[in-house]
Amino acid sequence: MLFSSITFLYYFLPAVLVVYFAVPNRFKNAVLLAASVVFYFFGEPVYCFLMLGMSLAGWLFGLWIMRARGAKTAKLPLVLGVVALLIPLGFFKYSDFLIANINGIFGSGASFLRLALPIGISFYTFQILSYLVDVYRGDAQAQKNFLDFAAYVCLFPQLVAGPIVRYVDVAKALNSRKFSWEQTAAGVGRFVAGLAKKVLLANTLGEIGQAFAESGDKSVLFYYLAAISFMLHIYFDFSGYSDMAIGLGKVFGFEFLENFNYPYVSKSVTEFWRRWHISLGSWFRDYVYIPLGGSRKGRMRTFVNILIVWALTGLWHGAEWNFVVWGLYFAFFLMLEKLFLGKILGKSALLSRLYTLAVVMFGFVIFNSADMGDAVQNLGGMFGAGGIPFASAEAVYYLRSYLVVLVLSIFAATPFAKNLFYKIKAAPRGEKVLAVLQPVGVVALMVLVTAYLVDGSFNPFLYFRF
Amino acid sequence: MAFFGGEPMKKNIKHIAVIAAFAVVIALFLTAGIIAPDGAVSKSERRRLDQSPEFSWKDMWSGELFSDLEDYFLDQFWQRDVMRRLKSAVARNIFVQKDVNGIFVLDGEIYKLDHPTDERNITRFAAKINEVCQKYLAGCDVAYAVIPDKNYFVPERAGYLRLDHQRLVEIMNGEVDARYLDLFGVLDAGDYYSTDLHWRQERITRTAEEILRFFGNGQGSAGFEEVVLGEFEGAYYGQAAMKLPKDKMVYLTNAVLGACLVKNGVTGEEVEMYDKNAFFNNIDPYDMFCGGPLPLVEILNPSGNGKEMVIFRDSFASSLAPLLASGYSKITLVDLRYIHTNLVGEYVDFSQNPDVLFLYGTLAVNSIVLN
Repeated sequence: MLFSSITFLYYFLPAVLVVYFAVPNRFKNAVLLAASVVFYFFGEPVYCFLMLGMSLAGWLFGLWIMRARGAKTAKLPLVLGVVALLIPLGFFKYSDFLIANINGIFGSGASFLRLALPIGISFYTFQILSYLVDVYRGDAQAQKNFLDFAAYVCLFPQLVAGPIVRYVDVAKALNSRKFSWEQTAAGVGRFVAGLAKKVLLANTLGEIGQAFAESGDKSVLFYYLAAISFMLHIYFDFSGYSDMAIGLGKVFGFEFLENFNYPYVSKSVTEFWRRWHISLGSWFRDYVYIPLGGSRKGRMRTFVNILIVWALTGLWHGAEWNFVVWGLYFAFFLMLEKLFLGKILGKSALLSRLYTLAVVMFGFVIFNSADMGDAVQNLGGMFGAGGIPFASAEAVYYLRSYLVVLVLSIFAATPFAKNLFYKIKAAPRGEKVLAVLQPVGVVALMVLVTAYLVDGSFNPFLYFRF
Repeated sequence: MAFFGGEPMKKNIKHIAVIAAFAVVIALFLTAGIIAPDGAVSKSERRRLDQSPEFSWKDMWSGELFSDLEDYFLDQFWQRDVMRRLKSAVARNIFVQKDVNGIFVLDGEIYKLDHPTDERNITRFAAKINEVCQKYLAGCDVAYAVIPDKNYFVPERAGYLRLDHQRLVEIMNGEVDARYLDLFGVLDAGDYYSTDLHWRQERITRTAEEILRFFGNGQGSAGFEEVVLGEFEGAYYGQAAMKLPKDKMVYLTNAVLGACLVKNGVTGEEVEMYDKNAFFNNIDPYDMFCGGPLPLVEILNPSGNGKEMVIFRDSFASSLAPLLASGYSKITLVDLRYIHTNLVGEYVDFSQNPDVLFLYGTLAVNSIVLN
């Protein structure tokens, strides 16, 4: 089930909200778990059992880790738990990648398994892994109640596309949640804003990418149009989803951490990765980079650690070499900034922003390609490789047709709207103005989003394949 | 009065307003979704609407049940047409998109983007014409004509993507082993419905005369009387999802046409030349012409000159064929989208060497594969 679907908005969500707020507090986690199972079952009936099975495994290993704390064999349950949880992820996500590479290296003709990837497996696996490590480190107490633990893992607001919620951040709320009008209203507003970002902006921007993919009339302009629109598309798609997850979390009484912080205003790649998919970046930092030694073991080791983390980050995003290259591409710029580029970038805000946007744009071209061959072709096209013309009738047409959307999207990707909101709030009578604008805005956006959904059709999130 | 975390409601009125606004929208559409009866057909979209899916364990475990359920909710959404009009209005007026779902409006006329040019399909189409010629048409006077899509008449300066009509004709002229009848110079923008892809029957008498003259049937068409049936929302009207002036459906008749007999060429059943019932009740009112989308249609003119014509065609010929009736005793319409080439010989007699015309719109030539 998708948040941006009629089934979710007008059938599932109201039913869950009514039941959730009707039951006493001690049953709320059970309601959430049941709702989450139904939510997941709707999209993946068979793999629902995999998710529950992995939740059970995570819970059992968590208890074992806590029991073994202080003992000589304390690490054993952690290692076993991590391996046990990575096996399904590796099997479903990376088997065909492994087979393809073995076939390539040894010339063998092993058949591909062609397994469907369980939705959200990368997200909930990483959540459970973070839980096990936090319990091992003593940062969290193991959850004794399986129902509560499963409610945390399967929590539908963030189940299929994040943010990656750490157990330590919600442990208290799992046991007891407070509700307030302000928090609920903030959650509603955040959810509706995210929904609008996804349906009105991301989906519309995605049409440019689709037109580009189907076009037999490529040009340099079209390559850049596709690249820039994809940058915006993936941002609004993913950050919109995160907004919806955070908003629903608030409604249900949870405070999830922010996952995006206007990444396209960054002045360096380093800053970009502190603003983009924050929960993933911090996960790799806390559970891979720092345990490897981080930047504490000299420059060479720091760079090796960066390369390892970013290769894994790339691989997390997809089982293809272009994702690994994408990760290593960013590692290269991160290292460059650590060496000397960071100091140079500090001298001009404009140039540093342009540099960051250019690096990110080319990075996303690699990311969005089917494989490395496709990536090379796409990058080459941006520089006129193959003698393609600078502009074509199609490129000009789509630029003209989507210009307003692109400009609006660029504005919306900056803190402009947020700053305007706070300016209005701080102005005399500003609170009164917002008191009217906000509910009107909620109604207008909900109706508009619904109109777009009804007119369109299936619109999956981009990050679903993770 | 305390509620919800012990806070007084009065203090939180602005937060309650936001929550209430959200709840009202959800409640409204949920209630309407439950109460409003399901529709069978969308007239504006010219298609059947998805109905509530039937439960099966197989579909449930495969996930198909749930995707069918979403399709059902989308199709049966309360005030679906209003929602589509709202989306169209926002896309055109706020996002200033040149087209919405491939549909654009220029000076009150609705068009569908016809792009790109599929040279492979055009070549394949030409090969199919040659195949039919070789199979059945030895000794016949054979010609082909391509009806330009109304996009052809959209000025280039409007900046819309378009089919390369010139290239299409070039390929056809290079590939098809038959005489070419050029209709591009005979038609103009006003000959098409504003809300539909088809031409207006009352505007194509000149086209009919040109065809008759081309086949040496200098008889020409007799005068016609115009009959106005009513308002016509063409195929593009619903797709545009905008409030625009509708077309008028006019058909032409005279004594010759009044005496003609029109038959379903497969079943032998008699059909109306102009089926008023179809106009008022069918999903596509254009089906009123000569039985609509049938594989074979025969128009028999009892006062004809003994000559026969066979038109291999798409839907354009349905409204054109009556205007050619005065020049022939029998006109057979063959639609290779609905009957396989190999079966045509079982129903159509080519032994009298009829005049043969392959008449297709550029949309068909560019994108359809004939059987």
